[in-house]
Amino acid sequence: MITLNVNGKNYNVDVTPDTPLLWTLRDNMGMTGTKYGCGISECGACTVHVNGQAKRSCVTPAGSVVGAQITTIEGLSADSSHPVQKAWIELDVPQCGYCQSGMIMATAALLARKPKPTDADIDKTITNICRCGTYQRIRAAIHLAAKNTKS
Amino acid sequence: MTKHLDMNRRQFAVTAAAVGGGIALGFALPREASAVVLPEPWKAPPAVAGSEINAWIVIAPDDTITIRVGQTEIGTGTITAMPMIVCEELECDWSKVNAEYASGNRSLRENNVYGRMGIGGSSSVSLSRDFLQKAGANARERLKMAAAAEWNVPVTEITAAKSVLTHAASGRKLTYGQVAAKAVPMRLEKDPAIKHPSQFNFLGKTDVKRLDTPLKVNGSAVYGIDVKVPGAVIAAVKVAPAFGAKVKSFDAASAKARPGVIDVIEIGKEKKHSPATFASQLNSGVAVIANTYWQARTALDAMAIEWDEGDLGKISTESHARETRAALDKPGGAIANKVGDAVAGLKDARRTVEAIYETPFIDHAMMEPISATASVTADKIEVWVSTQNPISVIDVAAEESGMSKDKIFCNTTFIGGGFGRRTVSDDVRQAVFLSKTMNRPVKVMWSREETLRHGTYRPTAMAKFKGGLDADGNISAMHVTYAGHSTPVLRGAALGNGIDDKNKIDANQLRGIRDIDYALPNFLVEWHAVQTHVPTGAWRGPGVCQNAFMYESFIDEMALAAGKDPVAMRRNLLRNAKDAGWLKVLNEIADKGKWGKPLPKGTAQGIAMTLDHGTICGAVAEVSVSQGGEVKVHSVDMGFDIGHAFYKDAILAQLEGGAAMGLSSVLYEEITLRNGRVVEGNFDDYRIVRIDEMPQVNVHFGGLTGGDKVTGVGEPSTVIVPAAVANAIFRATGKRVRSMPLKNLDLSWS
Ligand code: FES
Ligand code: FES
Repeated sequence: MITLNVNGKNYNVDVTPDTPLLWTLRDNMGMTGTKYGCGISECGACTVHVNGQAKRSCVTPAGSVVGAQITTIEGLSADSSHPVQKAWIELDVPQCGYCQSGMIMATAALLARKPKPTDADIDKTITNICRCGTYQRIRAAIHLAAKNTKS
Repeated sequence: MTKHLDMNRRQFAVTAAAVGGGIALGFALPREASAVVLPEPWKAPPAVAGSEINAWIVIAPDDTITIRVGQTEIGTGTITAMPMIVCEELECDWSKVNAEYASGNRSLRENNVYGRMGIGGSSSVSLSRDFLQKAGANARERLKMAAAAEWNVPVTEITAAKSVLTHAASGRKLTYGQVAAKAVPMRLEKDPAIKHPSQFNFLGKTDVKRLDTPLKVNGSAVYGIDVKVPGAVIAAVKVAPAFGAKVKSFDAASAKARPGVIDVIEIGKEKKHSPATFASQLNSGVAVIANTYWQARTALDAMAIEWDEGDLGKISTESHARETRAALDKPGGAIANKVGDAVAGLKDARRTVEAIYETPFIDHAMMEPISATASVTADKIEVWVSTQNPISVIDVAAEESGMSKDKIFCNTTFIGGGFGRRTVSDDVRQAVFLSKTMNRPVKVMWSREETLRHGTYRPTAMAKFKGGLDADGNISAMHVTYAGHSTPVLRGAALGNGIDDKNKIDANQLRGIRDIDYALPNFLVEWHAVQTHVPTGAWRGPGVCQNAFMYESFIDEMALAAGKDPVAMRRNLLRNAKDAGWLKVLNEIADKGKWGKPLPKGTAQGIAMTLDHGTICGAVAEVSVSQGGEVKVHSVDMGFDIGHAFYKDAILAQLEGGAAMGLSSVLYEEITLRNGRVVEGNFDDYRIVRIDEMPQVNVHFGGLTGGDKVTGVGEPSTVIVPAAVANAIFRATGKRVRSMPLKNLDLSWS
């Protein structure tokens, strides 16, 4: 049994410490907004925030984030009001949508660190995969969110 | 319920009110706060009861209108676009429209009331438009009748707009919600006329937001892999890595000793599929059942399994390529096209050009790995799955369980990408088998590796092109010998009959070569099938996704040999094209793409055109290649002709995103075989383009020809990008690309 702080609440979960955070969130805590795409840190579908930093939860052992503040897509905002979510809605970014939780979490972490990212920053940081190919809109939405974020 | 009259969906007038029997449920949510599709889109929305006017339309007293969608949403926008089409005729207030999936079970029970429910072939709009418009028009006219009866005036004096019925002479008004219940028993003498696309005042005029976006930015949209069914256990599965091999032995005891493991079950010992559903067959393998996926997966990974592979282990990419190439030299292939006498034409030609092209197996690699959940009980089966084809889900579940179809319910979830993979229900068969065996709900989950190694791949192809030029540099003859792995999944299955049994060709594999409107006085296409044990199927733009690359590259080779500009060459080839869209699209992309503009050394444009499911498309790509051979695609200017643009933003999204998929396919994608099995296992060795590689995609609407044409846009940009890129690479480097993917080629230059 370990205790995890997710979206501001403590949860006692019955997993071995080496269980990936991804599966702990999905199977043990019922939070399925964080997605499984590859399990080997390639695609970013499983991106969450650990103490504000973007982390790929499929390769993050649950035991390694005990005591950390974990934020998932469900906890990014209570009402989809985070500037990144609003930009995503405004530009209708998602197609199938499966990668978008991870894209949004990766973007939110980038903007927290770098409020006005350049295209080169985006290229370097947003390395998630979208098979539907929504990249053009993702880039536009990142810039839109940056514009709409009060600094 | 009223007895079923003629359920032919073209006769709404007499039948529509008879189906479903009146009351259904609608719901209302504040527009801003929430999506108007439920996170679990298969569920009937709760709250306000409404009147079912016909199988598609339910109107609540508060004017909320629920529109049922027969085609599942795989990311193309159908869950928004289909209601838009109904709204056009219904003349309703879009801000109060909700969407909900139509029931596949009901469609089977009620004589196919929802028409073709599977999706594929970029066809959702083009195939549904007619009956969705009829559904909307039928409901509108019956609402008018109800108002006319209420006011005791002739129905012809009533107008309908924005969910309000008006009697102009007396100034009276009623909302749809106020008369909906009275419209239910109304009958029409005949079907009302539906609008021609040129008469639309909503479609193509107003761009709307996607109904499902809000659910996809907060993690609430439920995909197949997310489904939680009470009491369900998780099955991690591994089937024989060499396709068609069998389980010899496995160490169940050690797996069962691990935490959380409930059972270990061999699958595929007994096969219940039919020829029509063979792509869904239970392959031989092992399932580990546990409480959570991680418990099941780690136990499965740790378990020793021995396979009986026979000779399958001898098959490799190289052995298959050798066989395919040998087929190219065989005379007497099945004739797919014959115009004039290509063999004589080549003999008479002033100059001939010959080249062999080839393309590999590739996977759909949709982001959501394969998964399906089934609950089989004594009197009912429920399935929850990301599917492109709910009807195939029911067919396969019935076949595997022996239960009659009316007791089987497919709950279609949100879908993390399909691209042709989610049409055959092989996942569903596993889930039904395991749930039946375990007598409890089971969720089957494939790892990414299992998903990538057990796909229904795009078939391989090799083609030998021989072209002849006359004295004016025009193409006087062309002979294509095509050796392809055929697409057996298509045969009799979800997407229609792939093999033309009479002519013994695989028509799907030859799309994009047989059906191009180029003026070739002598044209011969011969087909040879080269089968392996590899399961194949429809990949976004079947056939065309490799053929546009091969054919359009060869057309550029001919242009070069003739000393002609590639655009001028194509303009000439299209001089007699019956469909005006060809030249219109060509001119649009050449113009908007600034064809021929000066570019630095190592940078060049390439052009290509093709036809996919009736949509003409073309692209100009601007590509640079470093001297070391590194390729960068800077921009793609895309033109297309689908007749009319109904939902512009969704069209843009499809063309932008499809270009990325086309780019992945030309740069990186390849499934290789070694020892009878797939080598690649995950996104580290099966690479997909990322944001830093995404070109600027410019979509141009000037190629649209209007008229009666209505075709789709889900596949064209994926199929055209490889050809345009390959042609640009030649012009940048002098190196002709005759195979995909580019990662295998040395493109350095000096
Ligand atoms: S699932 Fe974690 S990076 Fe792909
Ligand atoms: S929207 Fe489908 S994978 Fe990104």
